[in-house]
Amino acid sequence: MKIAVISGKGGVGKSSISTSLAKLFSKEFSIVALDCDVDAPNFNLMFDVKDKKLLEVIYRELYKINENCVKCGKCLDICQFDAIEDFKINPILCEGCGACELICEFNAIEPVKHESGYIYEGFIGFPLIWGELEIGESGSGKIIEHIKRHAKKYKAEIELIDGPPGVGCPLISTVKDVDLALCIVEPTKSSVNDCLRLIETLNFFDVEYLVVENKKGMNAINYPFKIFHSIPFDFDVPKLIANKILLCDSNSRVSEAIKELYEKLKEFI
Amino acid sequence: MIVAVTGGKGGTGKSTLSANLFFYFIENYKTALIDCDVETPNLPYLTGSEDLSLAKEVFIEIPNIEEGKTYNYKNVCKEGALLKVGDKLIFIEDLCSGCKACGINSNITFRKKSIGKIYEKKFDNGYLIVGKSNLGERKTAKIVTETKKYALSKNCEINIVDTAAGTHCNVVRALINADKVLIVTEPTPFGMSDAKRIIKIVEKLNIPYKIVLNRYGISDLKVGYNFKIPYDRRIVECYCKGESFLKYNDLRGCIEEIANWIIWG
Repeated sequence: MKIAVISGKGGVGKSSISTSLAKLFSKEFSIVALDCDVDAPNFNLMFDVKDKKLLEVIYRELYKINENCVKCGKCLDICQFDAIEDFKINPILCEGCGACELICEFNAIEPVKHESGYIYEGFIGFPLIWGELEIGESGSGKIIEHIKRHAKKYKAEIELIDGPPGVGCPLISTVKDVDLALCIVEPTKSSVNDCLRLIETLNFFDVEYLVVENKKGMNAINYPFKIFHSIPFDFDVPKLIANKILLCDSNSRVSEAIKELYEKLKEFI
Repeated sequence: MIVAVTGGKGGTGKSTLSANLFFYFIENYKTALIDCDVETPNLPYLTGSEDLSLAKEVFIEIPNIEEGKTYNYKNVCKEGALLKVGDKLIFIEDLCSGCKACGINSNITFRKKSIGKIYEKKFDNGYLIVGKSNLGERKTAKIVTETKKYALSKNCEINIVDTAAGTHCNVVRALINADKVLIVTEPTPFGMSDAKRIIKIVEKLNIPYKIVLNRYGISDLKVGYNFKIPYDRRIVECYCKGESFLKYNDLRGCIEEIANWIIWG
């Protein structure tokens, strides 16, 4: 069973909840954890990862202009991503579509292979596979697909995925084949609004989901969706996280709430 | 002056800082606050402005495939959005990024497709400009670029660009052309790791930057920083209400220090 922990807005508690859930699941099930937040992979930082191993380098093509260039300007006009300026291709803005190469009549534009991301594996009592997007790169969706492919070899009962924030490309790649998405929301207008956008996206792709409220009591708010479970607000939680203490291992009252969430989730398996 | 506020990690306080800087600057300067977190823009909530009006729609051009028509297209689409099998063309609109490569040396024509909208609200001495992608849209980079372009056409003295979380291309597009960057982080292992990633980008882009350590006091982790904002209940309360925290003199002082760097360097 594949479970993804996601949120529209960042910083509402995805990783703090997913790390605890992974540990709780690992006591009763065979599990593999996946960190698909390839822009900011944080799951491994909560644990002491043993034997970090590079599983794969992901490449993509981008383009460069060579000495055949006669400065006709056709490539500047065709590039839809503003990546060409002064007859130079900015690798940060190049999406690798190849339109410039196709339109050039002078063979002045050629593809170059470029490292765009990495996939790692480590053991934290259970296997963890995570991806890291090379900084400033695009193509997180592809990296996420490769993370998922590597995770298959474990044939685990539970694949627990720590997802990216947002509702764009990486989120869509993360959730499109999961059995259940846990949407984390906090009682603020921003987070509720983002969660609504997230739910619409999940509906669009036909993904089952449950909404979990984090930081209950921080603010008074009415949710326009059903809350499956609530975890209380504790002003000191950021201090636990800063000290790498898993919420389920803490003495805080959030610990009990997370264990209850785990028990309730077990019924879906 | 364009100042971009970024941070790597989500939830470190980027938008909170952007909103408070906006309310500070607007007292004396014509200021634009630009929300470039186009997938999940939140500045309307943090500035108490849910009454936005539509300013502009953002379009890309995608192939206009008519059934029954013969196309001399060769399979050049790198996104896998357009594929010729025998005489048939298969087009998956969701995967199309609007690069127009398929139209080169072929008889494919294009039609406009909306990918997002730009909204605005006028304040006495400035604007809030918000880019927002349409739901289910994967390729949203152009909305970031267009939102910034639209905002800069207002000719404000100070432009505050709030980026999305992460270090991906949308963040880079929001950072490009900035004169200065503020990197907001927090003293957690996550915040520090993500800040390192965003610092690499900003250094590559060669833009002067300063680090704002938010939630100062939650740990003893040694983090290098230039400015700090304490972990304080009043900030959490103001954030929840969508208000600025400038009414508290000590907190206003934190913003003032950052604002002075932006203006005077």
